[in-house]
Amino acid sequence: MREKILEQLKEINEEIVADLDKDLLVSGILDSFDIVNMVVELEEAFGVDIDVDLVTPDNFRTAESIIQLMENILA
Amino acid sequence: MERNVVELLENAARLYKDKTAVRDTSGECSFAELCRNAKAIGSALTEHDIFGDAIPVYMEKGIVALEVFWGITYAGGSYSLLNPVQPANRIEKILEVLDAPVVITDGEHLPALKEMRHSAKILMAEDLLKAKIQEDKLNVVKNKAIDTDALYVNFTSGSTGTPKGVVVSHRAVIEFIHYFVEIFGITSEDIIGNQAPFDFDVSVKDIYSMLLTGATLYIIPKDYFAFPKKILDVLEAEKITTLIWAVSALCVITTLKSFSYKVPTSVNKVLFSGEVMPVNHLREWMRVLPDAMFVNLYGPTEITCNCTYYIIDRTLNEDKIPIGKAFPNERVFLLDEGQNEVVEPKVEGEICVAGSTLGLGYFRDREKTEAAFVQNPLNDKNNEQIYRTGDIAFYREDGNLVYVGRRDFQIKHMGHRIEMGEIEACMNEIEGVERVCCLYDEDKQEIVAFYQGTAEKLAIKKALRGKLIKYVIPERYVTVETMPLTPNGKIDRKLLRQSYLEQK
Repeated sequence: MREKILEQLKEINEEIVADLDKDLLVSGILDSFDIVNMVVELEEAFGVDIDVDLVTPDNFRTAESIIQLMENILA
Repeated sequence: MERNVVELLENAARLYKDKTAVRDTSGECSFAELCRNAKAIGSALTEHDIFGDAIPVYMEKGIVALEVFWGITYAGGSYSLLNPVQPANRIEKILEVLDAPVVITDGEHLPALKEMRHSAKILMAEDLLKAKIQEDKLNVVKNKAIDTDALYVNFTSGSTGTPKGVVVSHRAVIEFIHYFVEIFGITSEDIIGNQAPFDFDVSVKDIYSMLLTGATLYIIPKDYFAFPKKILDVLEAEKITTLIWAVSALCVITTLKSFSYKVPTSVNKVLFSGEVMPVNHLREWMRVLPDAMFVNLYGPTEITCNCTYYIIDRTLNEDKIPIGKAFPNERVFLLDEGQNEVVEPKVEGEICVAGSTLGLGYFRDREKTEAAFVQNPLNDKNNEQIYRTGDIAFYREDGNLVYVGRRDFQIKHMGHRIEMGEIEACMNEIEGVERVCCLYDEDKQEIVAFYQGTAEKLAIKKALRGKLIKYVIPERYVTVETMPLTPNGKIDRKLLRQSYLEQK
């Protein structure tokens, strides 16, 4: 599953997965509207609903945290 | 009526004194303090003789930025906010166009500004705020100023790769904002939740509505717009009543179905602009706020904020929301390709605007100014300048205008105006890129860059990050072996789009 999530993140934006622990918010790789778009793309790709409660800075800070979030949702 | 926006500031300071004018995450400021601080900055700036100059302000939006804006105004200059979110390369281009004697920043942004190439003297907002108010000097400027002087310069995407500065006068803003607050009933009891960046003219409505009515302006940090829960929390905590937002910002909330978390019940006015509002998103907003007023606003920066508005009927039984009718004292009409006025319904024409809210043109660019701000072809009797928007629309049977699209290669993406030419010019500078053409995929709402050459996609994206604002950088890259060309050797955009759509 991890591989599939990684693959999907790469599809959305290759820069996200270049360094899994890089702070995507501070570095400016993701801006506000990107996160919303990413949530929508992840929802579509995996056929799930991501609750707004889970759309928090902590869950979207790094590629690693996004992967963990998705693994939890899909588990 | 007032001649200069500092009169609005002084009126507000007199009428609303210690009432909170602006609040941001760092603190708050009353109308009296706002006026005092602006006068202090203005007094210090008179030493630098900036009368008639456009002064760059390099800092985040917030209380200090507003004090600096009106400090510059007190000294007879116009302000131009350079949003630090932009790459250094673009800021340098803007500083070069402005060619100002001074640039104002704060401690946080000084290091970045020092790294940039420019010849302006750097002044610190912190120092300017400490200056002593010199009413006599401010009065000298006040007596010299007239209402057609420039108030601000906002930079938008330029087709050649150099940002284009739209210049707007005091008269235009004062004229517009009086009608704006009256029509939508904004009063001193309102709390306006600012979303728009200060280099984007949506913010002009927030800022000057606050100044004219004594409403409180709450500046929502831009990072909140990634996390709808934070926005809804702040709307509730600050009891915000009025949202004058970009469509894309409203859609952030509805896209993530955030109202299941919380409904901002204090909101009673929702005004939006920037792009076409998707009806399903609007329905959701209207469902949770059944008593609020919803307004669709239309207009390019060149005519000062907006020139038409449409108050949405609660029944919302239309699938395309019209842009409505002209604001009072603005002439909005359609011209066909033969320069004749379109009066009958359902016939398309270019939206043209006349009136005292027209901008003063493009900063230091006579050629572009003369191409867009022209004599009304319908008037052969006297001077009547009009602005040709490049937007196409038609009249509905009931006389409301409906927006159709653009006449050229400009697009609207995430609420921002983008010239494909700006992206193409920057991509062409990258090694390994030979020929470029950018198209907009309306369905997926993404910019697609087609290019000929050996450059890697990721490398192109990285290189563009240093040159362009984030939202302008294409999301998708497609290599083509050879670009399709028209008989006269230009890239055939139509054919490229067609083959792209077929492959999709």
